[in-house]
Amino acid sequence: MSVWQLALREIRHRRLNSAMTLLSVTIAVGCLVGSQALLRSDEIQTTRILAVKQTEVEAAIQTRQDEVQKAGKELQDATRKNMLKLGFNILILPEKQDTSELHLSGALSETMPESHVKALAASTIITVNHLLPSITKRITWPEKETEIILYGTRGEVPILHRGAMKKELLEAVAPGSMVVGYDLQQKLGLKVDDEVELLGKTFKVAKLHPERGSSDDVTVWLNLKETQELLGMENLINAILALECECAGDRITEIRAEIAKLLPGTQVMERYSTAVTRAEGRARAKELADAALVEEKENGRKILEREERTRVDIQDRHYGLVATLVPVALVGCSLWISLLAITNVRQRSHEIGILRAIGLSSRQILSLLLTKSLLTGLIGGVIGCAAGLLVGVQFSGLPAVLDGWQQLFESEAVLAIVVLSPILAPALAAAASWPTALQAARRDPAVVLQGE
Amino acid sequence: MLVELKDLTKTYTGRDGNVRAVDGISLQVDSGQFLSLQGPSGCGKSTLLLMSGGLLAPESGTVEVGGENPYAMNPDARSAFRARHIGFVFQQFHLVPYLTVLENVLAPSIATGGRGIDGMDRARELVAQFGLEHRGGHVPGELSSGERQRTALARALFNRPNLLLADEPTGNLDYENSQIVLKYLREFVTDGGAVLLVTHDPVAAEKADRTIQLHDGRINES
Repeated sequence: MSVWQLALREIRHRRLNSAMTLLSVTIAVGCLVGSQALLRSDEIQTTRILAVKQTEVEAAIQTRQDEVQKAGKELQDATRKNMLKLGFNILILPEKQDTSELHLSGALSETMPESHVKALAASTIITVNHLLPSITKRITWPEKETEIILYGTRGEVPILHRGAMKKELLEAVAPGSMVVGYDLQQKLGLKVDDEVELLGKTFKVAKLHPERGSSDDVTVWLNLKETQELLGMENLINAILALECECAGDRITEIRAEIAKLLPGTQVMERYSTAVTRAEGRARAKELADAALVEEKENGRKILEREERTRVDIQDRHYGLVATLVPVALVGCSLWISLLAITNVRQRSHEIGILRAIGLSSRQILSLLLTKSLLTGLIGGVIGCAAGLLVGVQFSGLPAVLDGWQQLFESEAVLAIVVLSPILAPALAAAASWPTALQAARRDPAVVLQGE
Repeated sequence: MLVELKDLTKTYTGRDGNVRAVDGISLQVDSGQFLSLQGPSGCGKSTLLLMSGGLLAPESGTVEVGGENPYAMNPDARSAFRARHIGFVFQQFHLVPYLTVLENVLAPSIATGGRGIDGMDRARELVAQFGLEHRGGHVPGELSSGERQRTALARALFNRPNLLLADEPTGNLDYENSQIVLKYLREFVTDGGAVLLVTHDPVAAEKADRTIQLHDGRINES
């Protein structure tokens, strides 16, 4: 017979004492393991919750960004469409030109070189496009004895760095052709393909404009070169028409600055229109969308901060609980195991006495008593470890799925505690029982045997 | 000479002062001798028995068993000496309550390392010798007094000691069982062992070869 066999038989015989020792170890180990599982579960939960919140916040921000983009695109589209619908809104004029002349008479007297257009076309200008060089002059049509505005144009000049033009705002007038405004065609009874003479040159009517309710109704459009020849203004123009780029708001300052660098000696006039008003309206909408985006980002940041603070508070509370509970549990359980050991030794005093009498050494008696502690400690440790993991995970609300358990064991603290608990638990039980076992082993057997 | 006790004294300190339980006792027991110690309660019989068995160190004097002084050894060596040479039987039996008859008889093997087949064979042999085969799997709580004392006797003989120390072995037995136990003790002596029996029962004392009367810690030999 061995000490181990004797210890096992005694455990089976004194079930209550053994069970209570086992329970005590289970509680101690369970608290230790459960606390680590709880803390690790907290970390995992925190990471998950913050990730979910981050995703929600990013989704909300993305929604706002999409709104901003949509508002911006709508702004661009609206601006572009309105601009296109209502024509050129930028006039580049000679610096000396008195603009009141244009407003009063619809014509311009000052000139500038036609080469200005080429300079603009070859530049990297970004604030305007659709360049249209022109001559505008108020004359008397001698052959028809009527006042007209003569408009010479050669068609739009493409800005080279933008690539090919999609569509011209104003078609060029072919040499030898004439385009006539509504009032003039009515007054002179002109029809398409009619041949007429203007300042001694014969032109064919190519197109009749519908009524526009503006100076266009008394305008005759000719090819620019032919107009320059008729007026003796070769290589000269008195205006470059342009369309403000699809942008919202008041950019005239930028346009003026850009053109002043490229064409010194010119001035820029903007024709204010409802298109701009509408563009400004769209611009306001975009501003609001931008502001909403900034607010959304700020809200998102606050939400994340708040959530992180909440999780940190929870973790701090759990840390506090663990820091208090675990030492109390360990000390309490150790004391309880010691008391149970004292009770056990008292119950076995005669047994120990006779075992000494028949020849067991004090070392063997000590082994016998500690073997029981080690065995109950080992079993209690395993049960406590399993129970601690389950309770810790349940308490934290961590989903009981494989992924969650895998993440749990990624924590070095949890892994270490779980691996070491089959060693630590028996050690705890043996340490708590040691003083009593040592005293019992050293006790004189004669004292017990004489006591009967 | 198997046992030699020389001028043994033992004093206990109690509430009423010092009590000299054994006062300068000397005696010898040879192999094949059955010696009984008689006397009233408190005369020092059990004290003398425990000192003879290496369980209670004397205040003065020497104890030799088989020519060796157990009190000259360290406690573990003394335990091993007891396991090899001395068997004990007590009035209260002192069986381990959760071991069966067979396991109780086998218990001394823990001390001497006698395990495995040899130890079990010896235990079975003793269980059979003492008429306990049908009770081998029962725990002490399921046995009669006579069966318990026979189990204790079998346990005492497991390691084949040459000295048996019996303290009132018949104290809790009826006449019939007492005679059975005494018969086994006599057989042990016949086989060459020595028995030192403490008893206040004159019927038990009659079985001994020699009776020593103790009074107030001293010998009155008859």
